[in-house]
Amino acid sequence: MLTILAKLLQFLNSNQNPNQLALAVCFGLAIGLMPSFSALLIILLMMIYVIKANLSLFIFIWGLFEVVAYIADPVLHQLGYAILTAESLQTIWISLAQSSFWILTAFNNSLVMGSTLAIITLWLPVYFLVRVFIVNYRLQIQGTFKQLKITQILKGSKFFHTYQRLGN
Amino acid sequence: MKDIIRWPGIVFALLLVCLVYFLLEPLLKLVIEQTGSQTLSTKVTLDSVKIDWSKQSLTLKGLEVADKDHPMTNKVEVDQLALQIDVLVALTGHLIAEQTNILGIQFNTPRAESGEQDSADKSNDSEDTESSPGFDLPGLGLPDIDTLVSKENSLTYKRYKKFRQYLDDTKADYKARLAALKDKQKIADYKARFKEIKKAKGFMEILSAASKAKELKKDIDKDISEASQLNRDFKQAQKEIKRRIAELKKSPQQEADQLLKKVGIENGTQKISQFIFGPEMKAQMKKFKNWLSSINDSDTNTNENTDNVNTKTPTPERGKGVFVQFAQANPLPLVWFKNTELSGDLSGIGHDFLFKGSASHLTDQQTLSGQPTSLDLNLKSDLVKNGKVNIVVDIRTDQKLSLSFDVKQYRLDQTPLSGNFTIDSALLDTQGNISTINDQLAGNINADLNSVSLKTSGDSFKKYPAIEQALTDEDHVTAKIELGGTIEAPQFDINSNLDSIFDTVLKKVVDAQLAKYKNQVTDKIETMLQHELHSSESSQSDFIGMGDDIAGSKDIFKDLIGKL
Repeated sequence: MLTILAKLLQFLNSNQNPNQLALAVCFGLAIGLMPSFSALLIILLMMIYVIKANLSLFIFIWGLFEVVAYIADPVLHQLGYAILTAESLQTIWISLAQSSFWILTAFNNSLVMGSTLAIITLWLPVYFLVRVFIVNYRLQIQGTFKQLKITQILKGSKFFHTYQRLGN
Repeated sequence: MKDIIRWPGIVFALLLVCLVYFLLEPLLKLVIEQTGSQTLSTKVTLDSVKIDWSKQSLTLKGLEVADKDHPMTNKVEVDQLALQIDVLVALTGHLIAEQTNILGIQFNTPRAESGEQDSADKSNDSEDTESSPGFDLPGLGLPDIDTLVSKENSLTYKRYKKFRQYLDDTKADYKARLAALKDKQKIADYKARFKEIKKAKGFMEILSAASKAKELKKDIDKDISEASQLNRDFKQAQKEIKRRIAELKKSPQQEADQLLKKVGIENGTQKISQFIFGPEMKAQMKKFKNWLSSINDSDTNTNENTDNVNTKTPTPERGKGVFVQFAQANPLPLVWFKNTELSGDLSGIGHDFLFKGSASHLTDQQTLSGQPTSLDLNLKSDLVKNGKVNIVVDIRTDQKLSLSFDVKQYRLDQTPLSGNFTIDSALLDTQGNISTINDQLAGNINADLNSVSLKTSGDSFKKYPAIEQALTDEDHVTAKIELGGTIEAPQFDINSNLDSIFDTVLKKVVDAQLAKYKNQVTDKIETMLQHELHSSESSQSDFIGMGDDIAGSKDIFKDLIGKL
């Protein structure tokens, strides 16, 4: 049982270079914010299986941003609705509305549009910020955490030994 | 590339695609059920959905559409619906098919579970319990003879009284004239003068007597001419009285005629065909009206708002957002079957036929399909040799519906037509067409019933067994029905050969009744007159008896002259 759990954790914690971790955060943000009835969600999920990103971090961030999405729902709706009803963009929306594919994405839903805009806006800044943070963390803060008593206790556990053995 | 792409992930993604491929059928089933339920505001269920990728076809099995008003009944049930569709379009909730086969259509079948929806609009229509008016044969408003003929109001009696007055006055007048003529004093005076004349002696007395005799003769002559005049007048009066009596004897007949003019035929039917076929026509029109309403309602309910941009910001439910509608170049209806082969059973809507045929442009939104819906059906039944129905529905235009039908040799057994009429058996040929223009109804239906056995019932016919007999003897009935009015209040002008049969027989029966009644009235008046005349007989005899006296009065004076 412990071996199975360790293997799962090992798998989830693979792909640990900063780029992969940053991608995990971005995907977690995107999938957390995107409403479930849009086809874009399926596309994002497909991408997370294909692209090397840290899955455990992705799952954690996904959960976090589900909460954020719930809280930010009214703001996202307002943003999406404003964009969808903007006069200058009507031509674009009307041409998209002729396509069955775009209809499946539910682009004309205020929440989907608001979430998409938020994802597009946040993706690059979040990616770079997370990457910088991880690099700096590893360089400056990680050493301090290793000295903490709780870390010592966890490292002494049987589970951690199994986990480490699988990693080697 | 190795750092970016997770190759097992690609395999996993492909596996996911395969899973979706296999899950597509249940997904489509869900989409169709939800979209159908939302569109029709009633529960729509499917047993299964099968996709044939090679033919790009979809087969729906066990489709049930619940009746909004009767949730435990299916408004329509279809065994199998096979259609060629664009899957991507179908996933957006539009069921568009170039070619469709719909098999095993049935109506008003029972459901295993309730099809009630929360948003179901429960109709307030209940079964219309309007009953057709009972049939009543026209009859005569024949009042009681004793009430009708009363001495106080009788014309004949009034005439009799005038006659009686005349008789009495005439009698009195002649009595007076005779009395004046046969005045005893005057005759005694004549006799005295005569004696005096006879006594004359001497030349001078004789001369005087001659002059007196001349005068006397003159007076008597005057009386004689008076008596002749009286006699002549009396004879005239006699004639007049006889004439008046003769006139009087005609009066009962005349009075009876006058009285019967006031007694007319009650407001009975002028057309028996209206009563025979009318209730059945009303029932069929009601079904037609309900069906037409359901078509109009579904199109009204499912018309999408294809306007651009909503002007005010609505407040959405959390996590749902708001869908902004954009104009589509070619907006599609939710359901549109362009060419359809169909078959089914009409027994659920009260017609014992199987049908097979084709339809074009079956859709819930004609405004979006831009095409009229038409159905061509062949009807099959053990009871009918041949039946065809053609229906064209185009709610975009004023002429919303056009229906034509042609049924040959439809066997009718024990078919009630209305409360008083039942067809025991008949072979019916019927053709017709009905159309609606806005709310106005127009059309005509011809019905030809051969080998008819028509049964009547009810007390009405017991009054006139001849009519009952004439109707039941007739073995060929034709009817022509003109439709008019509106869908809410249809009007039927029904003409049938039964009308002329009925009118002829009824006229004979009514004429016979009237004749009998007239005789009774006449007899009563005559009896009354005879009674009165009988009571005046003595007076008449008196008057006639005066004739001898009047005739004899001349002789008295002639005697006197003779003596002179």
